[in-house]
Amino acid sequence: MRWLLALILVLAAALPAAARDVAASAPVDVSVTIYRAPSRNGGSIELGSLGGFAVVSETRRVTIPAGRHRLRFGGVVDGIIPESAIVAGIPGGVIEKNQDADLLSPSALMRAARGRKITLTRTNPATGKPVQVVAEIVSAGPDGVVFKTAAGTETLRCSGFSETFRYDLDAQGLNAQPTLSVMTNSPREVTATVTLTYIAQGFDWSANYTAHLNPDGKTLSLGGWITLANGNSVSLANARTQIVAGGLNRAYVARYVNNQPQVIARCWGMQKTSDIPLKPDRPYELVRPFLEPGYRRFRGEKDRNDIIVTGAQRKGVMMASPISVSAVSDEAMPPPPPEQLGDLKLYRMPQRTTVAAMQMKQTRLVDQQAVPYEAYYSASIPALSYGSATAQWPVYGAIRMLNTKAEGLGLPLPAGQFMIDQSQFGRAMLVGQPSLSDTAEGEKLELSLGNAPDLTVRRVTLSQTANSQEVEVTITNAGLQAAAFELELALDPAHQIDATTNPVVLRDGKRLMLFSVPAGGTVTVRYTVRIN
Amino acid sequence: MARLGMMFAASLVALAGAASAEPGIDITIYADNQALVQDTRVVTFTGDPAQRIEFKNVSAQIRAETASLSASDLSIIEQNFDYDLLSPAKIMENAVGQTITLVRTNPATGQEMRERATVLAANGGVVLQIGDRIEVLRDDGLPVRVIFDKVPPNMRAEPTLSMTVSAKPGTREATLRYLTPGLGWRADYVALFDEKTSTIDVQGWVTLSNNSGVNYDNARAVLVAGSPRMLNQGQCYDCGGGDVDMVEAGTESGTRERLGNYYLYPLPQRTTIANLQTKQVSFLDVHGAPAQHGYEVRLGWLQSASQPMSFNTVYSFSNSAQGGLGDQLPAGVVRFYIRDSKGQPQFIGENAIGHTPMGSKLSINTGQAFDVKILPVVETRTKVNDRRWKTGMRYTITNALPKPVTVRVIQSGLWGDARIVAESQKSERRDADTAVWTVTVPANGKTELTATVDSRY
Repeated sequence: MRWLLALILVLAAALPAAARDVAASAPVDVSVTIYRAPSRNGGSIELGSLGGFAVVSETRRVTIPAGRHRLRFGGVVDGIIPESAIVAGIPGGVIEKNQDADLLSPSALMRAARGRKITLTRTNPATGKPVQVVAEIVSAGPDGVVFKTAAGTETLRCSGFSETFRYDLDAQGLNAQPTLSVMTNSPREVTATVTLTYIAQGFDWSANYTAHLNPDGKTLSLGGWITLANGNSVSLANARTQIVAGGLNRAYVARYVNNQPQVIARCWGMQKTSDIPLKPDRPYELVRPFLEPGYRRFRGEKDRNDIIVTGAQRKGVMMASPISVSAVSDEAMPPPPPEQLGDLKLYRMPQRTTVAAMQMKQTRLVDQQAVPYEAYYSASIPALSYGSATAQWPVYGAIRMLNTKAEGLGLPLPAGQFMIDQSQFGRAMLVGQPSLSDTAEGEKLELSLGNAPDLTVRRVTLSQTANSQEVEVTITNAGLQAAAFELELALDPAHQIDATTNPVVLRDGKRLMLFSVPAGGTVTVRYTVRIN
Repeated sequence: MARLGMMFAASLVALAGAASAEPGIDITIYADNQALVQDTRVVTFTGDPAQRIEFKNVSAQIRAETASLSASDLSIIEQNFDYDLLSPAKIMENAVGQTITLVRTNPATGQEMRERATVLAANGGVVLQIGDRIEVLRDDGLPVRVIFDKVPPNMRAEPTLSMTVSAKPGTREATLRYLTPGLGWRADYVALFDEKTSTIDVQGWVTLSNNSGVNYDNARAVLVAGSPRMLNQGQCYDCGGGDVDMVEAGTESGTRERLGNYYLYPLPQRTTIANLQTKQVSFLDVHGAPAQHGYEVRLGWLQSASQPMSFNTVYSFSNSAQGGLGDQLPAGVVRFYIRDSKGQPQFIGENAIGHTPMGSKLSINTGQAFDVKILPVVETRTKVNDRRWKTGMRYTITNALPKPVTVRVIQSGLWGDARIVAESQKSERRDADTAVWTVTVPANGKTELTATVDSRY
């Protein structure tokens, strides 16, 4: 008996091994690096359409028998860009890499069964008995399904019977999920740890800052969060998570999409004698006087209203919801300093975390107390104007900080959204929501708070000649405090400003007059523009 | 059951005239979503002076006008491409005036009753004549099966290419050739930059994708780097664009096989190119080629900014045989990676390159530097006379990195006759329109660069 077994083994070894599928294990270790939408330098993420991406690196175990085999990696993130995939650690090397996107679906099954024998099951409505007939699908497309039986040619779902096909063939070549595979040739059976790295779309992150203006009017407390989101249907469990700040180039290449039409069991016209033809222009739509609460909260997403907010301390099983929000908060943990990655900044999440499907997650970025700031008001007016001789211009409130160690900051601040508030009547009141672009150490931050209706600017052209214009600007302040004011005179540098009542300084390419407007007071300045 | 057996026997006879899918497919894929398919099959010719051959499993997007069949002792009488697709509505419209079979099932007893009916009309609903009465099909909502006696001969389940040929009887190979869109390829490069040694490792992959609606089994594929001009493609008006990645075109010839002006990339083994598949095969693997990291910004004429702008991060390398990648590079996307402090490669940006001959110098912009910025300001504009102006520029370059950096400031838009009359450091006039300053900025510091330009405007 033993020699027979040995003979079989020898024979089996002698047979050339046919290309067979070998499945890699599920990821044993995952690392994900999330990049923000390349076109966005500021603002916040839009959960409805995440424009960023991530680089996912998965470590998987695999046992490859000797010979030529197809190694399959199932359960990759659905937003995968297949051509970006890098597979490392396969002892036999990679002959070719494939990504199959022909997914298992009712349409794909029907198309694959075209021209083959399958079983049609029809249920007798009176007796409930199923009747099975051998059939061959002749045609299956977006206009209907035609099949042949022994009786002749028939059409699917036109008879009013309940009928369906049963597929005897295996769904070969059709995967439930987009599946990446590599062809490899191994001289002997090996067990290896392979790393699969790829770029996947449908992620994004942004920085969200909260600045609380302290009652002293001179300092603020700055807090910052990294908000990241995964819009894919695959969760990355217990992943090492990194964030990259800075602007990256992406190359947009033509992407081929599945142009296979869906198979729909359509029939010929089924109009009956009792049908009343539709009258054109008849108003069918119901009038809805009020929008429901939450309507258009997310663009184009109607049933995404049930957002669930969880904290790290709450770990209960939540209701199934399309997008959940959770905060990985650990107040004791200081925000980790970023690492230099080429010319970008890499932030590491302090501990492994699960980046779940359809989830938004937050982690601490900055926490700085008593950051001095300067509050000021600004208005930008055209120094030379051929418009209406008297015109009113809006005034904006703003704060300015310097991103240096000496000024209480001195750290890279990635682009994001600010929420600035101050305490009033015993509660926090929002005073502005400006956006910040990537700010390096040493740069200044100028954050606009919004319109300041207490201050007005009136620009009056007093006189004009072919090569000069004389202008008077009046600034009024109805507020209770004196206002530091920066009046920008926007001008083509070909012309000159002279004969001014106040000095004009050039700062960052802007021509500015700097003065203070007393509480309840008025300031009038004059200048002349020399036209060249 | 006997009838069923007969039916399949009948269909087999019909198939015998069709070409079987052996012995192989050769595909030449061009870079612009275009492929030439050469499909060799063994065909049995009957000697019929007008034998009809149908080709199944050809690309669903076949450009039928480019199809041609060749075999010995064969002459083609006619070539047809039928695209009237079979559907329930079409089959019913075709049955107007003909007789069909109705099978009614009694909803109480389950008893079946057969009837013959003539289709009078199929406009919106189906009107039937049964004996001497007229009925609307399924007007009462009860289930009724409709059985058609035959399928209209000109209708196909999928667009079908057929040929009517006259050939000597016998079984031999015949080759069908046609062009099809839906198959395309480009290159994808993975470049890992090592900051310590200033070198790159580059892997090149050819990526081909099949969206043509059919699988090509066991195919020999050759990829052609280059796009032969197709009809309707128009002249290349925009091809002389500026700001190219290729800063110096190469003059070296590679060892790869050529087709006319194009390089060929044959896939090493026969492979199956499945529908909706993206396939990648390696063609380049170079380690430790020298590469330089730098900063560059390109400014337009009179460009001012109120907020500092980031410099572009550029990596430059050569694909020369000496000190470079040593191969010509087909058009595609280069993705750059750098190892982080834990040794894991991290993505830092990508860019597209065109077909690059061997020996070229490439300079690829991967993104914007977080810490190295420039604030360009037009400070003064003075009228010299009616024809000339003097423009004072100030460029403030800041570096928040703890090491000094060297940056290139490219001022474009000098329109040939603009002269730099004063500058804080020497510039290089790269061409008539652009001046380039190479500026060193100290660690955590800034450098002011000023220039006065005498120009026509």
